[in-house]
Amino acid sequence: MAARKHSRRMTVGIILFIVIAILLCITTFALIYSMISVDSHIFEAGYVKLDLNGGVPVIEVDEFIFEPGMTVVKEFYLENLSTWDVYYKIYFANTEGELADILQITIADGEKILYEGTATGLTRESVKAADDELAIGEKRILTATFHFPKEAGNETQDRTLYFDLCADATQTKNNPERLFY
Amino acid sequence: MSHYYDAPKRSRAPLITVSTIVMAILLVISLYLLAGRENPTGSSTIGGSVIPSGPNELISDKNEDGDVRFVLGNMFPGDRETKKIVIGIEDKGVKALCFGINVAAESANFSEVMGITVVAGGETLYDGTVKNLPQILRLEFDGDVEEIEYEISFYLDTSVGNEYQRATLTLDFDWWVAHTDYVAPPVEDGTPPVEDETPPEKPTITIDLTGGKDDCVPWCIGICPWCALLPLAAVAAIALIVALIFLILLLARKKKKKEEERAHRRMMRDLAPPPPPPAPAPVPAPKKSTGGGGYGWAILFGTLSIGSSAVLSSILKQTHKPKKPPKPPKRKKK
Repeated sequence: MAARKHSRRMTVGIILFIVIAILLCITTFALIYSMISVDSHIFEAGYVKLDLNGGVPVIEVDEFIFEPGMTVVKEFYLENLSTWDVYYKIYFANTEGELADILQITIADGEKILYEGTATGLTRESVKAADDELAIGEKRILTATFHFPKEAGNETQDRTLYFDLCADATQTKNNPERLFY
Repeated sequence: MSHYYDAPKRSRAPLITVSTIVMAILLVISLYLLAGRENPTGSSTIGGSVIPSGPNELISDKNEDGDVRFVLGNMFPGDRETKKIVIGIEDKGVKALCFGINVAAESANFSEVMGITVVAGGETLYDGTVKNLPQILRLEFDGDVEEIEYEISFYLDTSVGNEYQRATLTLDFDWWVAHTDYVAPPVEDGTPPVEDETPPEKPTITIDLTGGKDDCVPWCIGICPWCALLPLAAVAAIALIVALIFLILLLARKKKKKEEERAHRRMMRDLAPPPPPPAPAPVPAPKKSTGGGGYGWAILFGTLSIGSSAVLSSILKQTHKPKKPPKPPKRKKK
């Protein structure tokens, strides 16, 4: 009795298996019939990224006590970590202190002056992109010169200046007008 | 007196069950792929290689020597890349060529800003983002067209923002043919077209924006004309023949086993002294089974899956297991 039941179960199982196999044949055939595919088209966007002095401040708090006529030169670097050449601009943000309109700041690339003015005059909106480009992977050493004018009066004594030095970049590709977004 | 059947081991029955379940899963996957793509931004991947054309196929890829796959890295706003892909049509009964794109993978919703332009037959079928691309772009023509050139361009508008930096997108392209006649789209208020509205005589290019008509869905291709059913029917017939052969051989084996049991019982009854119990029969190799050459032929024509051979081996092993020796009959007192 048990053997007969088992035999019947086996037969049903085999029939079911064969039916499913037939259906699989049909669907597989229909799937590949008269269809052309070109697969795996890959698109990837590039990116723009800068390294400004490794995040280290160019000039530390209380590093210098400026006197009229005093000039301090500090070096810092700007490195292009993007996947394309970039235009760049350097500016000051979050400026605080009474010396913001007094201290003369010059950003230079060797002998070439990139920016010149006071901290309040060198904002993101007011500065333009540097004339030259920063190539992929290029690391450029720049200098920031801080000059306290000799003619500054006594009212400038015991004054301070705080600022964030920032850099923006935009790809040179398809961007002839050097637009920053 | 009861006859004995070899009780199968418990591992044999689940083998058939497992095989059937595997086949069922494959069938579900196959049906899902046939169902086509409902959402151009779906994340499933279809295929990964170019399906080669054959002499009997309705359409063929005529770019065997050319690179028709887009591989664009380091894209920036303003970039644009164009490729031409030629599709050959070898069946004169073809009414339309359908083209569809599937988003196999993406990050940062890149398909929302990736622009695509599709030009075929001298007309622009679509110009917009990949995300808004209709499921099917249908190109109507008469049956004498031998090949159609698709000019496909991908671009990034200059307004694309910084949030799409490092974004990625992977697309699959499919072409297939439709054999049904032109169906005029309904008028704007939803009413069906009037009866005397006839399709244009000159080849036209239409864009299917309804998500796919039945005649452009992949599984319908080749079904409508009877001649295209023949290959399918041939495959189904072969599979059915194999199934019948399996069943016939199984039934024959059962019948033979019953007769052998009956003969053995008869023999045991007639003999005066009880014969010594026979030595257990050695288990033969499956290929030497007494089923004859029929199994070999059956396997030749066999189905495509591994489960069929697993089922076959389970049947053979079960039926050739050593039998328990029968109990000697009681002697009658004279």
